[in-house]
Amino acid sequence: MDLDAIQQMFFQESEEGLQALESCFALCREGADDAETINTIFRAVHSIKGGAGAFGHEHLQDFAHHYEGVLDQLRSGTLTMTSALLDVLLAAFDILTDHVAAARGERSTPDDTAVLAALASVGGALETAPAAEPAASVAATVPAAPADDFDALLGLLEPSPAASTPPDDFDALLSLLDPAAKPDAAPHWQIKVRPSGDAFANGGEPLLLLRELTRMGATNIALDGPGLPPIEELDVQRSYLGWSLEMPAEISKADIEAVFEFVDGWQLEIRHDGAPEPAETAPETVEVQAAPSHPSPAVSAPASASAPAGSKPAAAPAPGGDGVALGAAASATIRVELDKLDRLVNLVGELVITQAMLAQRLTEHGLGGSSELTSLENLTRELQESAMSIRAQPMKTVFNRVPRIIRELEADTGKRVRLQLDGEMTEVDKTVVERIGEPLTHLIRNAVDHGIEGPEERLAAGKSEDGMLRVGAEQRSGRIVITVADDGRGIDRARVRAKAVERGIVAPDAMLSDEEIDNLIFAPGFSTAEKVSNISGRGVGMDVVRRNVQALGGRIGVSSRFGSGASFTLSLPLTLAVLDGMIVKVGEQTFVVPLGNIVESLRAQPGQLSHLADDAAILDVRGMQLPVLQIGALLGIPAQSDPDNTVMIVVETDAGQAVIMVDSIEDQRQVVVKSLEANYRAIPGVSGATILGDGRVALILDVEGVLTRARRRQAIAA
Amino acid sequence: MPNPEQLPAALNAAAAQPLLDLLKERLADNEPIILDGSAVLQLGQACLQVLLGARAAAGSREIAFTINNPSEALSTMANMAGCGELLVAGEA
Repeated sequence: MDLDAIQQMFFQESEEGLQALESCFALCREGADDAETINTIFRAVHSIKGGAGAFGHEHLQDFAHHYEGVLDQLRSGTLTMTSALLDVLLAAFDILTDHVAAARGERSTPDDTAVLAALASVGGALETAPAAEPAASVAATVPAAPADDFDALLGLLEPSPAASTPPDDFDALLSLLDPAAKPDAAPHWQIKVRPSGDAFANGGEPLLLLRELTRMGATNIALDGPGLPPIEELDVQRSYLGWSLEMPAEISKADIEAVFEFVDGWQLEIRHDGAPEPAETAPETVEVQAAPSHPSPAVSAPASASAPAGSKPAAAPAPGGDGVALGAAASATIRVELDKLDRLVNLVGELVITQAMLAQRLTEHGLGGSSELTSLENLTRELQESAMSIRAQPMKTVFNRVPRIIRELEADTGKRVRLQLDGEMTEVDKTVVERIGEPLTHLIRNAVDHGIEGPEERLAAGKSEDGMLRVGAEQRSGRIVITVADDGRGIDRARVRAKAVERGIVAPDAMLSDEEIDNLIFAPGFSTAEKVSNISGRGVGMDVVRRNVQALGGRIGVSSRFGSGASFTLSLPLTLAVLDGMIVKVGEQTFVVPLGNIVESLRAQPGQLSHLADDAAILDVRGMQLPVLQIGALLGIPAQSDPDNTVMIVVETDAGQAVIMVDSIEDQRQVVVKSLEANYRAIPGVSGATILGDGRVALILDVEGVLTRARRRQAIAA
Repeated sequence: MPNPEQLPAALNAAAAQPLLDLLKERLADNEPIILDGSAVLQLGQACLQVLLGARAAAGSREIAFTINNPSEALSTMANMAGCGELLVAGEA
């Protein structure tokens, strides 16, 4: 594994750490700032700091260092959580997030001066951060010292406030119990570290790790081991040096090991210089493995078990010590490259297609009902669902960003918003999770900027001072439904209509239902904002939101009550890789109509269908006059057009219901979606393709796109 | 006494091979090795190894090895790496 890959791993873990922080701060906001929550926050920041040091991200490391200092005071009880302190910690969290993004090269280094000053103000002098303190000064502030190992152990046994007891007390207690122990001898960690021979590969720099240890309080650093070859044999690509050093006992072993989390093949020996010793700090030699276990001490504690199969042999153990391998902890999760996962999903898709072809072939030979075929079909579907579930991610990864957006909006608008997040654990395909963020952010910004009123206006309207915003996700009928609802002023239909008329979006005398007026806000270029703000109101947002949602195979709807608020509902497929569809024939061509769009199918009765022009017709469906889209005519395919030989499929679109006219319905089944864009090029009205059981390629209709195409055609004809 | 050789600002991995070549050349000529460390802003392990190797070789050949005017960065990193002796003049 090269350094870049290991650094990516650090960034992934930082991202997870930031998500954990957001969840913990949400608990703090609700008053649940118990010892375990504060410890989790501290460890997440500490872990980010350690990795940042290892990879030379100095700004990030420096900021995390100061942040950690205040958090440590909080967890040791020197500081007490107040709403003012929470505000500072949240502001620092936002800056930490920005620093991580800057380290990834996604943005410039944030200006953290104000937040650092605020941290200094609440935590006293900035220099009080514990991990960088030399042993002597740390000893002077013993109650504030980190206590990761012991905390983790107690946390595993019984999460309780006692988990914050510092290790010094534990060591002192053991010293009292053992008369052989010298009461004044402060035990240290004796560390021997030797980078692997290829430690410089891919830009690796062992001295950065040594520097991090120094910042944590390392002393007595000395060269150790066999040393250098004669200069004639010196290879500048190879690492020859090793070091011995001491670390203060206040630093936990897990924290020391965390420094080496992202290096591979180094020899690391951590020995506790004091007797007797707690079992978890027994002398040991570890060979740092790639793909290390999670830095959490609770996870790394069982590492003293045995080396994983196939791992390199551990270095010779110290006398009396056990050779163990860091990373040997039995972990419930593994990291897999997305490419490998996508390959698996793709292969399973091919298997589904092959299975369907085999079934068709066997059916042609009268063997369609065999139990083996049924078993194969069941197994294939189960395998496909399992493969797809690996790609599923909780909406939490998106929802975790919402509190920050709200904080920023509150600061920008002066409004106050109470946020309610529901259904965070609702799982949906990774691609959907990745692509829903932008439209969701816009809806939230829109709700706060346009929907929720300022405190005075709300009070005058008899509402609470704080606006309410609910963002929820749930699975419904095989789709994920995301709701963004506020209790603001709602949609002012008279104003929306007037603005739409002014902009020429609708005719002044157009008869529009409430739903149709509400939907005007999705029209291109529509905006009711009195002035353009930097939050929303550029008049492109809602149109883009709708297009982004449609690109994901989804739909967006809005319901509103003037004066009481508005609710936007996004309905999206759970996955983009498979699709439940109706197989239809138009002429000689086969198409798939997504089941999510279909309301019903019917044969038109005499008098139900009214032709307005050659390819324009209206179908009367129980009193509703729905436009008929003749797929054959639209796509230039010779097809049936008389009602006796056609089937009408009523579909739901963002612009209301419409009817698709096809020759016949062949089947209804799940199909594997193949990207047309990746394999050919994008075609308006077609969202992808699939391979049917008989080997034919069928195009998957994009119902919204077909409707747009039909309207454009009618507009041109007019 | 030869003029001191100015050490580059970045004694990183890329600088290690040129530094090794230079020092080997000086050792082959049996010339005292006098380096000026005032411009050094960065010291990595690869260059540290080269300097340590050259110092050891100079000692065994009874050639002087000196780093004059070490910058703060050079001193800090050398001391941090337990190689403070590198900055102490090694006379033949």
